[in-house]
Amino acid sequence: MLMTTLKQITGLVFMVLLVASCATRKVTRVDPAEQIDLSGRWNDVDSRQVAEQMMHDALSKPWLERFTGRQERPPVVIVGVVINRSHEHIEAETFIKDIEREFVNSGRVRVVENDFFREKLREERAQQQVNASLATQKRLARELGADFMLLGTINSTVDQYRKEKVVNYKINLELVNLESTEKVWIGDKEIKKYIKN
Amino acid sequence: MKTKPVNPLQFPATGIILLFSLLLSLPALAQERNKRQTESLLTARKWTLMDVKKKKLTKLKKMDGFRMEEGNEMSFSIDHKFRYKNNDYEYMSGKWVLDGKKLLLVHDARDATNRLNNSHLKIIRLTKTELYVKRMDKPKGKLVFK
Repeated sequence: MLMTTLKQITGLVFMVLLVASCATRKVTRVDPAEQIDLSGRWNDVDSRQVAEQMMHDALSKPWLERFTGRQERPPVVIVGVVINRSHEHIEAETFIKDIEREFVNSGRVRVVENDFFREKLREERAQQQVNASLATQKRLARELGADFMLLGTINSTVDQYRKEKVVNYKINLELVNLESTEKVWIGDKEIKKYIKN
Repeated sequence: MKTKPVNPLQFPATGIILLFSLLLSLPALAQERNKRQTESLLTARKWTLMDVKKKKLTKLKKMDGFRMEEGNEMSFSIDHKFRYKNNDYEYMSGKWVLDGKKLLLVHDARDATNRLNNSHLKIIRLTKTELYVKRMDKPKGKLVFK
């Protein structure tokens, strides 16, 4: 009798587990440009908005015309550090890459590799000096020196009361002349979110 | 002795004043609601220029170096900043202000001077999928964004 009950309970638990494991999950492909906010945290939409605002701002301001007019060549820019001082983990590279791409595509700003990838390139070039044929070796000390460095900060403020929360992100990017340390452009973007749980 | 509470609507003058103030506030409320609706439609998506009704708008010389062609992108954000990119990789960015059907774009001058310029647009039709505007500055012309 006890064995039968035990078997029935085991069977029931098994059935419940089986049904639970087969719970339906719906996955839908959506347009990457579509705005979907789930938790209210920093997401792809915020990143895209920052990238678009910053690159349009940077490329429409007079620093570019002034430099091109004076030097008769497009400026060379290197992306430096973007410090995250916000309360969340924010990957600055997602919008920095967009800005770099737009700089390069526009043909009005030249971009050189940042320190991490530059080291990799230098390693490869050093290897070539030993291992590559003379005809295909790339020469040393032929890198393009940057005129400007792009630096930035991400800050956030949070105001919360019971189930309501207001988060304000402020992203500042600035372009600094490497030789004179003069700031030629400062771009900022604010994103304010009201979250109600 | 007990005093009876006074109903303000019993007095004709108070009632008339209340009615008038209510009537006067109605258009303002409707205007505010319309403005919010237009702003939310404008900021909802990125607009791509699909049709330029006047040829002059696509000419570099006539447009002072910033021509408008099919495929240009324009977007408005909720913080009242706008972005415009044309097919020559020329960029325009700045603030936008809406006044009824009039849309004012404040942006930097397209030279090395520190000067702000304005572009005036008039919204002819705005739906979820279409933004039909008329450029009010010379050369004037209609533009269809989708």
